[in-house]
Amino acid sequence: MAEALRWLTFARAMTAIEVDSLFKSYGSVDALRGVSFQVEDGEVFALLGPNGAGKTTTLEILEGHRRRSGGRVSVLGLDPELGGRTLRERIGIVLQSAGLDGELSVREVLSLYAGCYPRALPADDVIELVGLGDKRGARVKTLSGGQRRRLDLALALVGDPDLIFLDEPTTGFDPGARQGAWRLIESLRALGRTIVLSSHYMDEVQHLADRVVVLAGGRIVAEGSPDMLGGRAPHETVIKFRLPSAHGVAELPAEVRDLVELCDGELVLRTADPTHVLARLCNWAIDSGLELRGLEVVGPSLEDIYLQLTEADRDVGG
Amino acid sequence: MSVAEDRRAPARRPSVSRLLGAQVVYQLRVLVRSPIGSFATLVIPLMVLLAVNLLYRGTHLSSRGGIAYAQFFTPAMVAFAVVNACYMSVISATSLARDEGILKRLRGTPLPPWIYMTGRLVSAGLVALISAVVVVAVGAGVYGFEVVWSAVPAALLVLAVAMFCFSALGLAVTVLVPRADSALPVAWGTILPLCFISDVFMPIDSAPHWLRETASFFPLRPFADDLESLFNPIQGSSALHWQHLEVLLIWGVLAAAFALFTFRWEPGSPGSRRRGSQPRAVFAVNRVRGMFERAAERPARVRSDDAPK
Repeated sequence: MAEALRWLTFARAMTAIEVDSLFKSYGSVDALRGVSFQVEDGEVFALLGPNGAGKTTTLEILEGHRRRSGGRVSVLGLDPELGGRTLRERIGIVLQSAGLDGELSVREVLSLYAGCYPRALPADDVIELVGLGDKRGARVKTLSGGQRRRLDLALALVGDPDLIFLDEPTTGFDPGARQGAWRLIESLRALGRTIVLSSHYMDEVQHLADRVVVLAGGRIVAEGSPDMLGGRAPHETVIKFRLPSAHGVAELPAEVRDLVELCDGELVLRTADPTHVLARLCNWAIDSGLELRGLEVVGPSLEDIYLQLTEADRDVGG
Repeated sequence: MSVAEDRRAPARRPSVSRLLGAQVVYQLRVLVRSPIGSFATLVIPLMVLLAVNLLYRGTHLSSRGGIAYAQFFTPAMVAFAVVNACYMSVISATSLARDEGILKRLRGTPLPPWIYMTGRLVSAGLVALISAVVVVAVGAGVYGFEVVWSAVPAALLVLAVAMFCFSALGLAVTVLVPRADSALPVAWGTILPLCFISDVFMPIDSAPHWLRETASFFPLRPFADDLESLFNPIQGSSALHWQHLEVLLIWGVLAAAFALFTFRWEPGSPGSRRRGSQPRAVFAVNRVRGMFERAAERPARVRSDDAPK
């Protein structure tokens, strides 16, 4: 018993994925330029970044679908380029887009894939798990986009993997199905499964991930817990308001005027010193006898931070 | 059930026969459920058999001991049926599965690549066998083709070797086909000229020596010739031409080796960005090296320079 406990403690402390100075080039294009990170066992780890940042390339190198140009990679203690069958028995993959035979039924597809694994879950159980119970006998070609995505998820889970890769797993889901997928991912985490996901949805990362890495232009531009990332942003609080049409920006006190930007008819300013700036703005409004319609004070969302962090990259790329 | 139970059964790899059986059933199921696929596989050789026999009904071939035309043309169409079910179908079905990303998804599972490929060979062979039986039945029933029963065992051996050869060639050509929409042009473009010079669509007994020699270098003429001579009750013999089988085996083994080492699982043309700037040959060499490294390090571990510090 004590032995088992010690082993469990050891297992928990293990690192599921280690990536050190990972490089990947496609011809003369560098897709990844020295990416390093670690994923601990049992963690939900997210890759965030704009299109072309290198998220899918990173995932596909970890999955063994692509060869790296340089750097060291270890997934569950194996090199994904050499791990072959041993590694694939322990991982589940949801690719961003992958095909299915439209003429097979949901159940036939799941049984076919389940048959490849040494430790497969019963196909019917996995169908229930992803909420396709009433589509069991339906041909794959009749499924909606969201239902196909759930089948993708089912195929990744059917081998009962220790490590699950999800490349934009809920793209195309309706809100209900997305909540369901989130609950499923949370229950997988509760079992100690390690999950690596990429996502475009900030709320998804904020809701699910223990740790997030922000990629832009093939480099890591930020790393931390989704909440911690806020602390790295240069501007922390956003103040929004409107002026009555008779008044112009020129009338604002200088400290406020210098910060303010016009954005979709709204005046927006970002400041690391919100108490002071807000006091100046409100005092000025009261002294002038004005009402600031639509006054709003918000902390930066992950989306704001993400946009700021990747701004330079988008300017170069766009 | 929920994953929360987490009762993990002891790991036990599925046996090769189970994996292979599942692949064969899967391939056949997909074929049967695609009406165009089944039509092309079974009906095209029958249509050619019917059309050509209508043209040559009642003629006899003096170059082959005066046998009826159907006695030459039915075995020739059996050869064509095998080529159609193995070579053509494997190229079109495999390149389609690759374009749709089905192969990429399969590559992410523990299914060994060679089992996928063998599944293709076995299912194509079974379909070819059915197609061959239908051709013989129609030839015998409608055109009076005479089945030489003593030649059947030898013919089955020739068929088996040919099925392996042409399915393997199909897999090899699939590597070179950029996308599924060029699969059929490439397949027909390579096989039709061969059919005309390989005693398949017509006997080439009076053709120039060099043309017959050239045709004998490719696998189709030895295959068709063997079948035709086995079922020629006047001139033929039930003895096998071993050198013909050798030609088929050499083509088949080379094609299978090429397919195994260079197979592409991802959509996209051969020169696509997937391999980066690596030339094809370097890529193939690295692939082979990877296989040796895997074999040497079983159970596979991180390479020593990759060990955590």
